[in-house]
This record gives sequence, C-alpha cells and structure tokens, in this order.
Amino acid sequence: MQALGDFEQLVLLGVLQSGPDSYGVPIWRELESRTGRRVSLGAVYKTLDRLEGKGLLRSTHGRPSAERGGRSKRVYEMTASGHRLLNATLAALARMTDGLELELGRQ
Amino acid sequence: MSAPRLARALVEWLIDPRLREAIAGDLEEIFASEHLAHPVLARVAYWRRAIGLVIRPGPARSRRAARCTPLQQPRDAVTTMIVKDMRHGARLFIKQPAFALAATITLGLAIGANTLIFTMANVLVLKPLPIREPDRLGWIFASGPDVISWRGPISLPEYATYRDGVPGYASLGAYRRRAVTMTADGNAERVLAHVVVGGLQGLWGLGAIGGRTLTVADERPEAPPVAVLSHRFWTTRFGGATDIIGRTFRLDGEYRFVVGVLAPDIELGSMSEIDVWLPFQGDPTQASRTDRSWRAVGRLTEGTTIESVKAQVSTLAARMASEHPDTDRDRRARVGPTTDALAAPNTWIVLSMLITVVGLLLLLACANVMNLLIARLIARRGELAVRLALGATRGRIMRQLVAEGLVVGVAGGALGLAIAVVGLRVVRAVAHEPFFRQLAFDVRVIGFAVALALIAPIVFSILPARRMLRADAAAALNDATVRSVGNRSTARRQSASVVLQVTLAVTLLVVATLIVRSMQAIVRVDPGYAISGLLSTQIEIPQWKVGDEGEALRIRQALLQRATTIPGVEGATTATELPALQPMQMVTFSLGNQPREDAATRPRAGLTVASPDYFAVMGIPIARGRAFTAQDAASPTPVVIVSRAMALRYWGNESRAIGAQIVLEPLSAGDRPPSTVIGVSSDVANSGLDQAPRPQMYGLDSHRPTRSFYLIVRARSPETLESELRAAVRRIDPDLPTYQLRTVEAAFADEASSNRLLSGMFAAFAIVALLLATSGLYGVMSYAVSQRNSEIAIRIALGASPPDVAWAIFGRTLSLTGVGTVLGLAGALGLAQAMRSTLYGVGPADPVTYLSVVVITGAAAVVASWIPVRRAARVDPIRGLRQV
Repeated sequence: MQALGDFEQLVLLGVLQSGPDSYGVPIWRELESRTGRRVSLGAVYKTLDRLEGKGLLRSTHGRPSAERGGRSKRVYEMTASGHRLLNATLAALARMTDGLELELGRQ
Repeated sequence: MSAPRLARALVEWLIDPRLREAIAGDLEEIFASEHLAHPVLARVAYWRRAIGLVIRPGPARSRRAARCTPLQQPRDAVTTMIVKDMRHGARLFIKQPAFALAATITLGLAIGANTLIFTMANVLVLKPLPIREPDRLGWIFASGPDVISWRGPISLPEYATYRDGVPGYASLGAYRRRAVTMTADGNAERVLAHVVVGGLQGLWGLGAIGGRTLTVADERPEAPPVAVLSHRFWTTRFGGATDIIGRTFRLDGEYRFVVGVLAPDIELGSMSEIDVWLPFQGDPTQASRTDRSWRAVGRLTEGTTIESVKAQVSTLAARMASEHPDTDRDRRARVGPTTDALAAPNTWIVLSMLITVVGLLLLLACANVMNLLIARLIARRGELAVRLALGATRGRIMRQLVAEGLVVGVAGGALGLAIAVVGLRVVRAVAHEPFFRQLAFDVRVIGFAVALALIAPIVFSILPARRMLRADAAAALNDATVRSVGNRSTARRQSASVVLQVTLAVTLLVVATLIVRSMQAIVRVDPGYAISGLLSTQIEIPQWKVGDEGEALRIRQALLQRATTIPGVEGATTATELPALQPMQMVTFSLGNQPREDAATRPRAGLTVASPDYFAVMGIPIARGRAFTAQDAASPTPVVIVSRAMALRYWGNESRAIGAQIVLEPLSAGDRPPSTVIGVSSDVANSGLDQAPRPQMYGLDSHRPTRSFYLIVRARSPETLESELRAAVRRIDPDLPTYQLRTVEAAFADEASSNRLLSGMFAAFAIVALLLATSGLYGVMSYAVSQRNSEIAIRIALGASPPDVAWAIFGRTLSLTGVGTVLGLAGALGLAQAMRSTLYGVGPADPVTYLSVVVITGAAAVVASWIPVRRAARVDPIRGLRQV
C-alpha cells in the first residue's frame, strides 16, 4: 500500500475542507489558517500535482474570472483511491493514538 | 490596480506551462483580495510569492514524501528549469574550454574595471555621510580677487554676518583646521584640531561615545576651556583610557579639559585626520576680516531651498564688499550643496570620465562575448533546429540560451570581483590621498558586481538567441548544412559588430591617452627649483613658550646653525613655504615713493620670508642683480628680491626693477621703511604646477620675523638625514615638534600620487580595450574565413591566386577598421571637448594622440587579420570544394 507524507495528508484534507470549489487559493487558505503555519503556494501546487500523478486527485479546468485576470482555475477533487488511502492513513493514526488521550493531554 | 508586471512576467516565463495558468490566476486572485487591505504590501507579497515559486523547489518535507513512492520519478512540477539549464550550460562550457575561457576573461576584465570604479563612486556619491540630513545643508563658498579656488573659505566677521542675516538658515556653523602643539606627560607633539563655532557638532548631528559634544555654550568667552577628542586619537594616543573625561592637557600652552570622545563614524576622508575638536571662544564679529580660513555650513529652515539661501548670501556678500572695501572688495559668495563640499568639480568630471570609460569597456566586452556566442550558436544550429522540430517551444530554447549566458556571467562576475580586489589593493598601495584609502568593498559594491554579472549575459545572449529563433525551423535545418557562400545578413551583422568594437576601442584609447598625457604633463612641470637633495620639516615656535620676538629670532638662527653642522649637509635655510606645495601667502604692497594708494587698489603678490642662503639652497637662479647676503640680514634696511613675473608686471623689464622701492603691508601698526629690490629671481610654480607663475617677492626673516616656517637642508642623500635633523631640532628645544619631516621629492611624489594612479588606471583600461577589440576582430575575421571556406575554394579553383584571396579578406578587415576608426575618432573628439577642463598641457584635439591611436589601431587590425588571411590563402581547393 502507498504511504502518505504528512504534508500530503494535510493537502488532501485541505481539498476536502475547501468544498466543491476546491482550487489553489482556498486550499492554501485552509492550510494556512487551520495549521497556523506559513505554507508557500509553490509547495501546495507541487504536492497537488504529485498527488494527481499518484491518482489520488483529479483536476478539471474551471471557469475564468475577471478577478483572476481572465485566467481559469484548476479545480481538484478526491478520487476514490484518494479517499481510501486518506481514510486508511487517518485510521492508522487514530489507532496509534487510542488510549493515549491522557498521556498526550498531559503536555 | 494591477499586479507587478515584471513579477507576473517572471512567473509566466519560468513556471511549468501545465500549471502556469492556474498559478498565475491564483496569484492574481490573492493579490486582488490583499490589494483592498494594503496596496503596497500586496505588491510586496506578490513579488515574494513569485520569487518563491520560481526559485524554491518546495519544502523538503514533500520531497521526502515523494521518495516513499520509488516507482514514481520525483518530478519538480513548479520549479523553474533555470538551474537545470545552467547546469547544462556549464557542461557545454567544460566541453569547450577555449570558448569558456575567452568569454570569462573578457567579461571578467570588464566587470572588474567597473567594480573598481564603482568603489569610488560608492564613496563619493552613495555612501551615507555621518552628517545628519546632508541634503538639508547649504555650504557657503567664497571667491575673490586673491582666491584661486571657487570654493574658498570665509572670515569670522563674514560668518557672523551670514549667521545673523540669512533667514534661510535655521543655524549656521563654521570650522577650520589648525595644527596645535599639545603638551601632555612632558612631551610636545603636533596635533590637528578642528576649531568649531555655531554649535557645529550639534548641527552635523555628531554623537559622543563618552561624555558630551561641544555646544554653543562652550563658545562663550567666559566658558571653561574644553576639548573633545576624536575616537582615533583617544584610542591611539590615550590607549582608550576610560577615565579620559575630565583629564587636562595643554594645547598651545593653554590648559583644556576633555569633556567628550566623539563616535568614530565621522572619521571619513579628511575628517579622519582630526585629533581634537575645540570650540572657538570669543566674538566672531571682532575677529580679523583677512583671516579667511573658516568653512561655513548651515542647516536650512523647513521649506527653504539652496537657491533662495544663495540669493540671500550673495546679497550680504555684496553689501560687505561695499562696506569694507579695504578687505572685502570684489568678494563674492555662493551657497552649494554637500556634494560640492565633498569634492572639487574636477573630481566629478574625472569620476564621470572613468565611469564612461569602464562603461564603454563593458559594452565592448559584451559585444565580444556576443560574437563568441553567435559563432557557437551558428555551429549549434542543427541541434537547435532538431529540438524545435521535436516540439521544444521557442521560449524553452530561449531560456536555455539565457541560462548558458548566465553561466558565462557568473564565471565572469567571479573573475571580475577577484580582479577588483587585486586592483583595489594596488590602488591603496600606490595612493597617498586619504580619499583612495577609504575605498573598500561593501555590500553595495558586491551587489553591483553581481548585478553586472546577471545583466550582461541577458544583453549578450538574448539578442543572438532571438535572431536564431526567428528563422523558422525548416530553414534552420537546411541552413545547418554547409553553406557555400556567407549569408548576407550574417555578414552585415559581423561587419556592424567589428565596426562597433573598433569605434569603442578607438574612443577609449583617445580619451585614455589624452588623460595620461595631461597627467604626465603636470608631473613633468618644472617647479622652478631643484627639488632633489632637499629635506624639509615644518617648525612653529609657539607664542605661549617664546613670547619675545628677539628670542624667537635667536632660536631660528640656532636651528639654522645646528642644521648646517649635520655631517653631509651642504646648506640650510628657512622659508615660510615650499613653492608649488603650499598655497602662496599674499601681501599687499605699494610701489616706490608714489603717494600711498588706498588699500583697496594696492597690488598684491606672494611673499616668502626666508634666510639669506635661500636661493643657493633651493637652487633658484638669480636672473639679475644679486642674492641675499649675511650683511643684508644684519643691516636694518630691508631688501627684497622679486620674481621675473613680478618684475615684468610692475617695471616692464628685469633691469628696471633693480633698485626700485616698494612698501610692504606692515605686519603691525607703525610705518615701515621702503624695501629696495636687489635682485630678480627666475619664476617658481608658486600657484601650483598646473597654473602659470604669479608675481612673487622674497624678504628676509630678520626684517620680517615669523614663527611658523620650514627648515630646509640640502644634502647629497637627504633621506638618510631624517633622524639627525629631528635630533638637531630637539637639541635646540625639546618642545619644538618636527612636523611633516620628509624629503621634498617625497612631498612631490605624494602630491602626484593620485595623478599617477589615475593615469595608470586609464592606461590599463585603454590596453584592455585594445586587447578586446583585437581579439574581437580576430574572432570575427577567422570565423568569416572559416564560413567562406567553400567560396574561397571555388574562387581558387576558378583561377584566383591565393594572394588575391588574401588581399580580399585583408581589404575587408581594413575597411571595417577604417570605418570604426573614423567613428571612434569623432566620438573621442566629442568626449574630449566635454572633459576639456581636466586636460592640462594637451588640447582636446591633440594631433599626436589621435595619430598614434590611428597607428596603433591599424597595427592591431593587421595583427588580428594576419592568421585568418594566411588561412584563407592556404585553402586547399580540393578539400574546400568537397564541402560544397
């Protein structure tokens, strides 16, 4: 089974969090606001592109708009295998933290 | 509202085309939302993101993640290909070391020269002065009938008038430098003081690292005598003693308290020589109107311009000139910005000449590298055509070519920096002027070199690349096969490039030769006396120590006597100045027994007060009459010797001057007997080497006592007697400091060091330019011959003789060189006119210079075409035809 890097997990979750109109800007915003760390647009695109290459995401061209200087968006959505892999990864994470709530909360 | 265009272009040019549209759109969208909140920050953020997208390959984290899937190649989607392209370019260069070396050296020389000159511009133009808001300062410069400089100093009464009468000045201060004798711990030494008035230290915004700075309160006559030390003096003379504040020492016999130590940042240029700062204590309006040694500078009030202050100051100057005709007649004043105070106009002209010259050099180097690149590109036509045919975009190939250019740029920039470092070492070793000593590398200088290294390749690689890519792929493919006849547009481009290079080189050569020649002319000027064999030191008999004039005279004679007895000394004299090294001291006088004219119209001339042996020791010939004798000195009747220039000006000829009577401006009140002219001496360069001699008189110090003078001895090898002379002075009085003890030749060498340095630089640049042009010419001609190999083969096969072919090639070289030379001479003539005022002893159209440059260029053209011409004559028709 493929493994997901932690930034890849975050980007996949970012795609889900930004809803149906999920393209570069909202994904990047979700990542910056929810993780509270500085993320470069380049890193986001690089990861999106790689995840698409792995078949975990697929992208379609969106409509161009005036505020984007007439340029179209690239809208990403999760593929079925993307869902499976993300769920498996998160489930593994959940199992690993099981019973450690007190331990982790101590810090 | 729009995103920064350059940054956007960068993104569109360098980002992977698959994601280009999405990313560019995202950037635009983010910018649009941020722009509402803060337009400037939004632009900054756009730039930051664009640069981040272009140069950064993304966080290392995600790369590690990619490594977890070994089957998938880690692929940089967003990052630019530029690094990869540069690596590719570097590999190509390693494969062609000759090309790489030629291009690197060419560019390195030019970047090195430019960087070196930039260090000068950096100090003069860009380095922030340690003075607060220097652009709000207005400097008062005076000129008058007896002032050679166009930015002369003023007197204290003039200062007081401007301080009280110019509303445009919020505050006006003044300063002068003065050598004073410091006595501390039983030692006397000469220190350089900055005497200030008008709270100058506060006006300049100087800070103290200990204690306080001087204020206006210190200038009141009843204020306690204080002093502030420079940081350098505090560390070198007092070892940085922490208890320095409150200590006392004597300056010119007067006790002073140290109240502060200045911060070191003022120690730039001539300011770095100052040891101690003193307040002027007293009423400036009561000071002498003829003691013009003060530099005034004021801070302008809010909203005032230099122009309006200038008008106010020159009005006051005119009023003073009419109110005080005795002293201030014809005096004028103007106000200038801080840049005028920093350097003389000639410095600015020389600097702009240097910048022009190195700029031309850089252009020449770029043209040269461009030729090399074009030759290489033509050889690579096949490769490029194949790549185009296989679907590479033009942008992609352009990027590749620019990246290759950048490799040359980076290598050339590194070499250039190294050359500049070495050059700077040489400059600092050769030059004596403080200006050259403060030249140093800083962030700006390095940034400049880096910028050149990055910009130059864009200049020289985009042009040929565009040309290459304009031709369509199919034509390029065809063209990649061997052509029999040189393509016409290629030939035209080559001709243009040769003409351009020769033009630039000729312009440079002429300008550099003119400058070198005029600087040599100055060095060669005869100062009018025999400077070799002279050793001199400046001596001042302090008023506080020896109050009595008779006693001072006795000390002076004892000094002379003691100096003469030093073994090896052939003669000794005192004099109030060393001709051509110090400014002349002027006095007014009236001629003969004519009724005394009023002071304003009395003539003025230089006066040197000396001892009887002066003319023999200095080696100044007496043209008519006789020199001073010991009897003259012993007799109470004053006698003078006048220079030839003075004799001609006031008596018409030399013999009529002998026996004439003149009355010198008295030193103190009381009438003086007229002096008799006993001799006429030949002229010395008394107003500097580049000025015509002016009327000069010589008097004896027994008739006109003086406390500040040079003790001059003549000896076979004066440089070996320095310690003996110092010891001799000390034996007379240990409190007499020997200041500036050095041979007169050394003093002249110091004076000429910047001239020699600058002419050396110009000469070096001219030689580099000639080398570049020659190698460029050679490159183009040999390339042309190799391209026309088949054509030449056909010609020879059809019956042309090898000499005919050789002459054809040679003729083309010569005609191109000729056109370039003519254009270059025209350009040089224009430049030389512009820098006319810096030339000395040589006209801007000096025929010798122009002729020799033409000869040198012609010789270079012959040398450059020799090998290609021979190669053309030796083309083997059979082999050449086989290529057709």
